[in-house]
Amino acid sequence: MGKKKIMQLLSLLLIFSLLVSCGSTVKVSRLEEGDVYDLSGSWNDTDINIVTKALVNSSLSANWITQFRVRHGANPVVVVGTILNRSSEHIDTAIIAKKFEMALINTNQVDMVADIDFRDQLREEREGQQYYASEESAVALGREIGADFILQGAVRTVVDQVSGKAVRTYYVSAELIDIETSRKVWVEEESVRKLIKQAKYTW
Amino acid sequence: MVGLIVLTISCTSAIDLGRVNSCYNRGDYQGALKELIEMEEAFIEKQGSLLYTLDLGVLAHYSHAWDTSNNLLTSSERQIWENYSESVGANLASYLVNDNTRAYQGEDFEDLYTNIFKALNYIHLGEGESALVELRRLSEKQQLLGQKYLVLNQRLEKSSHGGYVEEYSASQFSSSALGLFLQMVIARDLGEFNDATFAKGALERAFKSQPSLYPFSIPTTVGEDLKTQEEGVRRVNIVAFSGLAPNKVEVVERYPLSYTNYVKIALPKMVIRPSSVNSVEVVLSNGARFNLELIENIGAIAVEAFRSRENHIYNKTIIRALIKATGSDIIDLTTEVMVGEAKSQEEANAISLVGNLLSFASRIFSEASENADVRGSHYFPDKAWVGGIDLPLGSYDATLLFRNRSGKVIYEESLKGMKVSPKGLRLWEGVCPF
Repeated sequence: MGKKKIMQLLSLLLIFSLLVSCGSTVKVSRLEEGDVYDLSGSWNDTDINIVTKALVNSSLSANWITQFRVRHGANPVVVVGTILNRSSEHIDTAIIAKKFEMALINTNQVDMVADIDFRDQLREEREGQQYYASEESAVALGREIGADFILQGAVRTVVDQVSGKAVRTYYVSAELIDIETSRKVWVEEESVRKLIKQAKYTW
Repeated sequence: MVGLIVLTISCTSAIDLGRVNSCYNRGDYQGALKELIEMEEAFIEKQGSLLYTLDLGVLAHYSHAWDTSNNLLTSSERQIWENYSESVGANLASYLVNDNTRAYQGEDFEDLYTNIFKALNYIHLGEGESALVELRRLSEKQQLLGQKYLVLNQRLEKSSHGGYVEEYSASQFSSSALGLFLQMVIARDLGEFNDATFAKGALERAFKSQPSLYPFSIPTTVGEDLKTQEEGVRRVNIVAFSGLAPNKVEVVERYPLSYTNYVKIALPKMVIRPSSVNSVEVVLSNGARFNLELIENIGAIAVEAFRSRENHIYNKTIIRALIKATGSDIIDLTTEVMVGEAKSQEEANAISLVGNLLSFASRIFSEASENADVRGSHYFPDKAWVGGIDLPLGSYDATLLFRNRSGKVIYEESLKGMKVSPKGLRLWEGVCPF
């Protein structure tokens, strides 16, 4: 190989490396709703969708709503309690609770009231209005709707693992409790199992 | 060849942290943090970004920057997980150059104590549920560690016979009493008494099943921490850290192979940096005084966990060093044969010159490149102490007196305005750099 050819090859390599280094290292693309991407094996949007869909379907197909409406002639009122995170991952359980709330409201057969954490803010605002808002526009006190049921649940994980391989199971339970009688009117558990493999060597 | 030599000479992991350490030794953790940030580039070049975030994360914890510490330690934990998958090229290079060519994967004890410090950060942030998440993660890692040691033991049993294996396997670390103590206290404060009782039982089992790592008594507070309290009184626990966990140093030995050649073996060795603290006394603003008791010798655990990898490191180093040294011998031998077969003195001289140059370069390469991987975190503590006291609801100031063997107070830490409320987490923390 002549000196000239070597120089040409080196120039080509240099141009190629410059082109590569000039490219952006961040690339973003929008995903469709049904697209499933598992990057680390941790809890993700797909798991949330699987779990909430199954739990909502189960709660709506149970007859607690019908029973209540027949007995009281009105929609049951539900308040979202706490969905505890008893797993080994930092899971925002508020997303599960919110999805549940949206699904129940959209049936038009269940009324929801503000959840426990948010209620204090509303009470403060109502009390403030009594002092600072005009008489005509201030809302009345003592007209909160009491909830008939409280929704609560928990997320738990069980992991079976050896080096480079793990089976991670998420158990998401939810239950509706009659606040007056403490009777559980609906209980369900949904699980998601994942096999996570991590290669020891990579190119 | 010269380029390769220059490249390999720079391939060492030792780093001078003098300025960071001088701040740390004064208990000026914020100063130490600042100094470490200033040497970011040099640090990452020598020891990698995993150890940089790990050291920063621990120092940020000592500086009470809980959120920052959590972000940094989460980044370290993610990198430990990612670095489990090794690059084939880097791994092959580690057989030819040295172990510093591989991405640092973190020592087992570093991976475990990352979760403990994250749990402590969440406790200070008042997020008990998140602290428990970290401790469950710790428990999963320990389970995996148990599996790893089992496989290592089986391999050792296959390859050797005799007492060494029994002695080796009897002292494996797979359950942190400190982690279980934190789990017990947080679960209690969150009203999860079943979980708290379970953690207490596991803590007692950790002491019983790992006598070589826990050769001291279970702290007496453990027996008191779950007792029912009188009205208006709550159990408060204190955890304190002292000293620095072991670091790695390079131990070099050279063995002659011939009159002109030798093999250089450079091995990493864990060196303990024992804490000077022999006892910790807590003095409260209401006049109450009590001693903390040792719950975990983190230094001993770090050494123990490293032992599981030592055999592999040793074998690999010997193979690599012999390949390099034999390479020089092969060049010498080939040169000798070729000189003997040369058709003229001039040709013989030329062969001899090139051969000697190659042999010389090979020896320099071998000497310069054979470096031990001494990468490791620098600021995890050496010892953890715990204690507890029943206190009426209210606000307290606490002083932690760290004493040496002769009873002299060598460091003092004040905790101001510590609240004892009917609800919420009641765990206070102190740190002594010595």
